[in-house]
Amino acid sequence: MKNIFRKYCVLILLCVISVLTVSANAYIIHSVNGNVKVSSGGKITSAIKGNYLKKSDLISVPEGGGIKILDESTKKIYTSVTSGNTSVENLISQSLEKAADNAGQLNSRLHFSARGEKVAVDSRVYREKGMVTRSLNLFDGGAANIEIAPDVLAQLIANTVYFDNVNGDSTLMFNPIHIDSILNTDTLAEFGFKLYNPLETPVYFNVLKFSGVNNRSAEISSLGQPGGFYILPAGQTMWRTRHDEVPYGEKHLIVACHYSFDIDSLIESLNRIINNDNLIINAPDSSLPVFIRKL
Amino acid sequence: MSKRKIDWKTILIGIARAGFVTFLAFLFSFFFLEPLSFSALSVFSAPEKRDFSITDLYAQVANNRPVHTLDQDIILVDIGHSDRVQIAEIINQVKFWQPKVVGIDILFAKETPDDSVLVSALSEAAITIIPVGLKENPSGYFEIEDKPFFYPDDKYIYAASNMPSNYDGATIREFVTEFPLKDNESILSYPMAIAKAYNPQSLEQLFQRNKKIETIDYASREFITMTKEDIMTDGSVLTDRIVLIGAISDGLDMHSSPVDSYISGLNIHAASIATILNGNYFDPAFSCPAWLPACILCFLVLLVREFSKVQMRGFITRILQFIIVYLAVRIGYSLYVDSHRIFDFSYTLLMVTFGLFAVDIWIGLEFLAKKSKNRVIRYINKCQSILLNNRT
Repeated sequence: MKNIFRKYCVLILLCVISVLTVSANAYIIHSVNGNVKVSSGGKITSAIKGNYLKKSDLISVPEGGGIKILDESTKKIYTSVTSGNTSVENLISQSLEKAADNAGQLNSRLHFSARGEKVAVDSRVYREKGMVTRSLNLFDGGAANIEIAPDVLAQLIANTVYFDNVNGDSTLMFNPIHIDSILNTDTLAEFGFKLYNPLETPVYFNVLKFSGVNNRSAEISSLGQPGGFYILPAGQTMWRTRHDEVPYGEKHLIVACHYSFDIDSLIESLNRIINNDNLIINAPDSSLPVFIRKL
Repeated sequence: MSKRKIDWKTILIGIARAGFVTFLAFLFSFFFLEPLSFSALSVFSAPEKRDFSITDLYAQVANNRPVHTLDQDIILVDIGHSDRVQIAEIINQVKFWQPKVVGIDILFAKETPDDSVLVSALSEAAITIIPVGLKENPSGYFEIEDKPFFYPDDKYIYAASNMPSNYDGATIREFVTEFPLKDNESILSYPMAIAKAYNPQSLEQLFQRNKKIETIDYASREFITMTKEDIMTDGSVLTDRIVLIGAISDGLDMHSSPVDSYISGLNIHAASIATILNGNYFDPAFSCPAWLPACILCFLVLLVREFSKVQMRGFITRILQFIIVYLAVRIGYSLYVDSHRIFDFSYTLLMVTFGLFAVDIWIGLEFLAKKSKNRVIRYINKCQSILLNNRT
């Protein structure tokens, strides 16, 4: 009987302690600047936004760093006022003290500080870059954050090239069925292409060159876009030619998709795939929205 | 030992002189915006911007305090660079969590083929506030200039998103309560409409104040800002709150505020709404005009100068000037943070500086007047002696 009573007491005590522990964790790291460390229960970890803190935890703020702590119960955010080591409780009381010090706040703003807080009038930060950036958002906001996986695209290209043309001959004509001949190309007397996009969304494309033994060397064609890819907006035509013949044995392919792709990664993957002695060639998958055509 | 006699004549002359110089300084303050010799205001503001308000200094100092409040009523949702379909998704996600009020801070001006999804998302549940842009008419009322393609669909509450400033691109310090339209109609400002939808009683205090424009309380307040991914992780914080949906880093909707020179319109609206909900309004510290305490202080400084030893005058007046400026700022700041009172000491600053400037002008004029008087007297005496000689 006594033993059962004792066990219940221990159980209740444990529950109370855990409740107190949970309720004591009312502090959350709101933001961190610099390499701030937290020492809790003898364990030192980096301060990460969202982590819980206890009042007794020690915070180590490096020079130039800072930490903000949110008290969940009062919804107040306390900012560290100095660097060095301090407990969470001390940090909060220092913040409150400084916040209540109207004269000190004002003196600091007017540079009348008497406590050696140096105002580095000669310091500079170099964040203003004085330039604009242009991104896909301007052309195609919906596709701005989407990129075709280079490995997948490379495999698809390899399947298309080598399934249809193991010996480096013949033409490659591949129309993904569900896009339904969306692109019209004209191969001109000179070496080039003319592409028209009748879709309502932009199309991203580039031109690849296959050369070497068995066309196992892939790179960007001279008609391609070495900077990444062409964007052909909806309802527009793009026309590009070079005034010489295609060197014997080279193959030039237009690869077009609804989303952007990393040309460097694509070529790297492509070369890895097509130079793999254990190359596995599958039938081209006509359900994928990728258009490939030989020039 | 003989008692030193009080020279009342000298005292009265000194007082009168101090009074006249104060009046001269007061006249100067009407014609010149900045003291010619010393731009005291440049200590607190960039003078070339000509957009100085003393509340900016107070707000900046107050905002630099290490204790801020995380607002519990308002959540900001950042749409980033989302297109309309993605915005519709965000709206649906937000509305799933049943906020009390949804404020859309985006203008859908032209209809596009994908808008059925957007319209459907906007229509469902929750009170939705839609912004319109107004244009001021020369007659003094406003007209709706920018409106969404579905205006005036009465499923939504429309509110004016215009923010007042001294000039185009200047600092946004205030929000308007309502804008007058034609035919005695009016439209609430965006922050007012949202506060009214969220907590109608919060507007009672505002209506009692009977003011068209109120100062925004920016200092020491932060808002939870979420992205679409944050909502998917923990959208429960949105329940029963005000959710403002817009862009927080779109270059076309970035403005200057007293505490941040590059802040989104969404944040400004949030601060305005918080000011209303918390009743953190600002009032003038004194009911008298600003020039009155300024003139009194200027007069006292000049009086002290007048009765100081000649060798000490410059030193004493400069020290006094410095002390007055500091005390004005110090007292003004305490009134701002502790009592939400605004003490515009810029006029005091101006008057004290102009006072010292006017003293120099006065001394110069006095000297010229004495010199001219002596010349006139000598000339008259000379004429008299010539006349006398001629007679004899």
